[in-house]
Amino acid sequence: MFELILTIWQDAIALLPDVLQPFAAIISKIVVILMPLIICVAFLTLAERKIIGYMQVRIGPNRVGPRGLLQPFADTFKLMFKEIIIPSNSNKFLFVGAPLITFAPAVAAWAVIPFDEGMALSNINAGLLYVLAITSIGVYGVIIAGWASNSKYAFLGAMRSSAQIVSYEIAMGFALVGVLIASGSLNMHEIVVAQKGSVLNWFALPLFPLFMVYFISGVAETNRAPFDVAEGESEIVAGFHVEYSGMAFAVFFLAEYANMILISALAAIMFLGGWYSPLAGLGVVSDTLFALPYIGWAFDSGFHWLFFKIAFFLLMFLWFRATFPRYRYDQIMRLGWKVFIPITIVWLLVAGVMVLAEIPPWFDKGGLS
Amino acid sequence: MAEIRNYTMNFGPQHPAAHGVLRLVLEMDGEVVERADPHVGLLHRGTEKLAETKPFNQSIGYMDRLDYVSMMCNEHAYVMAIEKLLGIEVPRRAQYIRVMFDEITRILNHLMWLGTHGLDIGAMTMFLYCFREREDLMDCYEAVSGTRMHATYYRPGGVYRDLPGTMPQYEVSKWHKKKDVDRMNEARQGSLLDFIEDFTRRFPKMVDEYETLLTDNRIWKQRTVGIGVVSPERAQQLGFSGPMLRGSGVEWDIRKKQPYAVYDELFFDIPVGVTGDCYDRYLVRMEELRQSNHIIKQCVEWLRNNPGPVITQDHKVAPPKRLDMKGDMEALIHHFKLFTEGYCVPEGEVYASVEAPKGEFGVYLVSDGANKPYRVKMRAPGFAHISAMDEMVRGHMLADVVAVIGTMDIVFGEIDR
Amino acid sequence: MSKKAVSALCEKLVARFPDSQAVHSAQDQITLEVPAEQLIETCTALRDEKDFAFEQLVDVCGVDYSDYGNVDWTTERATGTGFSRGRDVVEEKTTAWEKPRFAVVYHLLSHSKNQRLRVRTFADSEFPKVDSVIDIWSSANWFEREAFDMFGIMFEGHPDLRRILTDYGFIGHPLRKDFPLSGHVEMRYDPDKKRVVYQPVSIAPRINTPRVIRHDNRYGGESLPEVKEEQQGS
Repeated sequence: MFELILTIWQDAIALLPDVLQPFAAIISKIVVILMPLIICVAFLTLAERKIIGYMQVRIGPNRVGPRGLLQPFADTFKLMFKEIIIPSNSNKFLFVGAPLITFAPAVAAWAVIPFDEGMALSNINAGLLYVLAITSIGVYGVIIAGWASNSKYAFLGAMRSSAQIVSYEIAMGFALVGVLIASGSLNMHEIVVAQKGSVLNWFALPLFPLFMVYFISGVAETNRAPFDVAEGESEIVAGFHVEYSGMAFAVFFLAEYANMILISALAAIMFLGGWYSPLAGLGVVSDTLFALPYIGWAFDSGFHWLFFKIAFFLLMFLWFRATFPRYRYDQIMRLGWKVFIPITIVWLLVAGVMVLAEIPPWFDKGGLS
Repeated sequence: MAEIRNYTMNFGPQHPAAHGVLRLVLEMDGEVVERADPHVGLLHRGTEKLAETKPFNQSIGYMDRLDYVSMMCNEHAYVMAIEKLLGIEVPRRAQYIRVMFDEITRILNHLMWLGTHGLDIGAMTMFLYCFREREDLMDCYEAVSGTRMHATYYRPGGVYRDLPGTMPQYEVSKWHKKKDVDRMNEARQGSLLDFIEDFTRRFPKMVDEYETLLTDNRIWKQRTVGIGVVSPERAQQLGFSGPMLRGSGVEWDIRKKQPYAVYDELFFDIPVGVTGDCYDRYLVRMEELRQSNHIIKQCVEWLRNNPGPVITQDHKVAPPKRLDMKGDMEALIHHFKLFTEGYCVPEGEVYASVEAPKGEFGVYLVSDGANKPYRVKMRAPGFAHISAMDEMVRGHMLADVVAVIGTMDIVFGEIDR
Repeated sequence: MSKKAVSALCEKLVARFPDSQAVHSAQDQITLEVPAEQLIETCTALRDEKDFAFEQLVDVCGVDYSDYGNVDWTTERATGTGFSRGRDVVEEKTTAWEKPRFAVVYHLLSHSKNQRLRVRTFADSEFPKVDSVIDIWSSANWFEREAFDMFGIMFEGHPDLRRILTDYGFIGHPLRKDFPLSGHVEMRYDPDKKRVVYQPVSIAPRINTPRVIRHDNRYGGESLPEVKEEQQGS
């Protein structure tokens, strides 16, 4: 089935003039990545409401479609048909542009994410740098939105958000430097391949503190609870997007959830061995499991394992939101600067020593050769 | 160089953490609050003026609508003031019922406070957990008075009627299957007292549950410890009462020190804080939840063993039984007079106060001998608390303003009256 | 407070403040009537002196006595001809009020001595003015603002005597007895002017239950009807 579609697709592209062929190939790949992503975002919102609902002894949406499954579509339609109110004395161009600036990087970063062996839109060598660079653009959207809204609440939210993202970018960057040291490559594909083997080969074990710092910084980076001071529901109402409505708001919303998925995917790729199965590399056990008829493939490495790992991280996002109170703005800063950055710096040294000492099973493959 | 000025921010009247209609004009230096000026009165309904134009009994319903999360305690203060002026005796059973419902109200109020305080600080789940238990207590209100909130259950001379023998039950519907309904109705098979007793057995575990989520939570502590500190002397000066006063370490509870109803016959402790910050007030209120539960248990025990009248037999003040009216001329006249003209209260003035969940709720009543009060002044605890807002939040950050509003347990019904 | 404690406090008050009048009411509550000019002095003493130690000001409220004892219906002296009384409102004065029109009532509480006291001071109707006790008890701040808002009583020395409960730009003092229940103005949206406008109130004032004073023999003593009628005659 899959091969058939692939053949038809390749044949269809071959029909085009030669100049257009690479464009068509890339655009079709983008569509293949983006469409499922958007659908994932839509259902992530539903999953969030359902899961938090169950954590809070209530049901969550259950009216639209069976068990509320069509709720995301209802939400989308509602938001599409709502008026986008542009506040008076706001900068209209920036006001409308800001959501796009937030959304574009959240989507663009997916270009370098490897989904499976050899499955990525572009397998570039500076993948990690690309991700770091692209994701840090997103905050401009927030700042511009806050400024262009001509509202004090939005402005406060933007200021909080910029300060917060700048601080956590550093901790996050350092955590990734750890991965870089461990894998010896900036290429996302090679980072995953460096973790080939069993569960014990995943970087989450030797780089555990960095893994934690990375994921918590990721939560902060996406402005999710308990670091959601930029939205700060009970303090500054909705922060930077307080004046947004309709589709403009929906785009912010999409960006936030796309970012959540992105952070989860990056965490899975860099620390939990990407598409590798946790059951791989266990000798006889793996071999028997993988050889099982019909279901054997499910235990073997593949895209589905990346999906499960992403889902696990997303669940953590939701769980945090249902459990923790919100930090205060200065406490977030303190956590970022006085706790996370020192931890990452110390662990970078430890990681360096481990690599030099070629400690098995992670660093005996000549990572820094 | 441009002159650097503080900027003012309008916090409310429409704001998710304004607890209704607080308009707080904040003068801010970045995130730090330099001055706070609360504007209240957006919910002013002129209760005191309205009460002056109505017979005494018709204003009981207004009391529910003052502090609309501790309804019966407000009624208690008002009927106590009338009773003191009239000089009538309240049957013991009525007093026990009142105390039981005062404490149920206290739990209702503190649950509401805990939920919204949690929500303000970002612990969203607390809100829903608290509302789960509130639902049961609301059902007790409903069973006894017919309404879930604005009960109008206390009357001068007692309470409107005796505790019912049955509880309202859930019905099977499109959304509730038979099995679920049976489970939900399990505790509701017996009388109201059975239901309340069952609740008092379940409730301590629920409080433990809340405490696991918050008490030792690092973020919760970071957000509340050392925030809005009030020294005992300042707390007295600022007219604080209730948990706000006790949180600062002043050992004062009207239920203990100037007991009304039957509080002097019941056993309970009053928790007192040490530092006077938001966290201490949180701990005080959490302990009060447990103590109230304990008091309810004792009341249930007493009420089970002591049947009797629940309202005074003086028919100048309390209506005669419906059945008596059918055959007794005098009862009919009493009923007619009571519901058309009301009763005249002897000339005088009185101040009656109860320990409402938020603090001292007092009613100052001046009567010139008429069937309507000459002047009623409701002393709302929240009014004194919110007047200290400026002092409590000065120098704190914007996020702490929210925490302080939460810890004050503000309800605008009573502040604006 | 027990009866003994009440009378003990009463005696102390009379001894300490000879110019004032301490009234011991039947409800075991004490009212101390203080001349307006001695208010600050008295209150400072009440807070600081060991016998009183009223650390907390629980409540401040104004009272307007201008309507005291007025009724809508003739009661005791009504005869069989009084059928029309429901149609025409007959205002009748049953009790004479000889003191000034406005009073400010302070409720004090002592945590350490566990006692309460009511302090009352009067202000005349022309320009009601009382000294502010805000320097003695901080809690007076908003309570005095409220009394000002509701009764128009000026508190001298109050740093920030603004309206508090009524709307911005409100005119009048709603709890005065000459202020009608439905107010003077009402608000509506004017579609022509496209804004909210104020207009004179359109609701006619109405009395559902007339205000009556009946003397119940159960409460006996000084308030028997005969005594009252004599007072009125004099």
